[in-house]
Amino acid sequence: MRETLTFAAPRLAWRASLARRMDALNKLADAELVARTLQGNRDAFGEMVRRHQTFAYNVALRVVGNRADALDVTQDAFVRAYDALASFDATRPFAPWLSAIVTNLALNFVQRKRPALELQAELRAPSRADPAQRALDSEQQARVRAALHELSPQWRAVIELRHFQEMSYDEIAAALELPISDVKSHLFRARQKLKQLLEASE
Amino acid sequence: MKTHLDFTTLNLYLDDALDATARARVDAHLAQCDACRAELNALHQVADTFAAWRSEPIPRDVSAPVMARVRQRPVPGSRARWGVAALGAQVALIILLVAWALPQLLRALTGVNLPPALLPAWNWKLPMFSLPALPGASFPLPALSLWMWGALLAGAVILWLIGNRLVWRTLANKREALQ
Repeated sequence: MRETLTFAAPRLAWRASLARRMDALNKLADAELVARTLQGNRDAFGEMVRRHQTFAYNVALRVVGNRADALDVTQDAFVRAYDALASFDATRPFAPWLSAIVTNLALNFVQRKRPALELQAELRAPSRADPAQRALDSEQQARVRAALHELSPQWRAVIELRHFQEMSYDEIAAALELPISDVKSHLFRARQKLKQLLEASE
Repeated sequence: MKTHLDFTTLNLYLDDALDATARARVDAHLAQCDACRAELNALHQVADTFAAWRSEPIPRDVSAPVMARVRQRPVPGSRARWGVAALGAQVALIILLVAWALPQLLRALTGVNLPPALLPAWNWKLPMFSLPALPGASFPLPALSLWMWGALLAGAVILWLIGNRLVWRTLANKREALQ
């Protein structure tokens, strides 16, 4: 009994210390977490991942259209974000910067590795095997999902950055490394197509 | 016959990307054109559908696998700092080499000797170390024009930059492949 206590006590103390550190990180703003990460504190970046993973996953999901691949893209995006963190302007919000990375990776993923994804129907309708998801998906959202996944990946990426992340044409062009004229062209044509698809589904 | 607003203009209007004059012109047109107003409303409806979008929860926490990969990587920015230091060292080495060979190069290429006032600068010696002298016979230079030497030097610099870039990318790819 005494031995168990002897071994358990340091572990418990370590866990309590870890919990305290995590709790302290949890209260910090993104900019402070970024600054600490750049100073070599990787736990600070872990807090960033926990804080933004749902957001990043949803960005990836809207572009990739498949939950398993969206999870992979989300992980890759955080690693990419970590590598590029020195270029992040800490006076600006973190989420739009991250969304540009996620969208870019998701777009590359769809275009290069999985052209067959275009034919996947996972997100064209709510998952029937998942009652919680079914409950979450309103009929309207299901219609929009279906319409969104009729678009080309590049059009989806532009829609994601313009309508979900509210980026300007310039910011989208920089994020996707496209000329502004292409951004406008993709965006306007995507809207036209969506308009037709949504009208047709009513 | 009334000319309707084109689709591009309506989209730019929707995105608030028109200048004040163009916007006023569109406003004036919309005030009197039902068809264009209907077209703009349809675009607004498309945009509004996204506003009601609900995010779904992430199926599993990815922080552990992400952090396992992150812990194997250098602190962000440290590689760039190392790269700048490496580049600086290379530039310094080139400057030293050029400075070392300058009197010999000048004489060989142009037949001009370094001004006597500058010669002492090339003859200095450290207490423990001195650069070897450059005997003319051991430094044979092809009879090329200055332009040709310039082109050769430019080519060497380009190759050097490409080489650095390739080394950089190879290191990055190797690290990525190890993940």
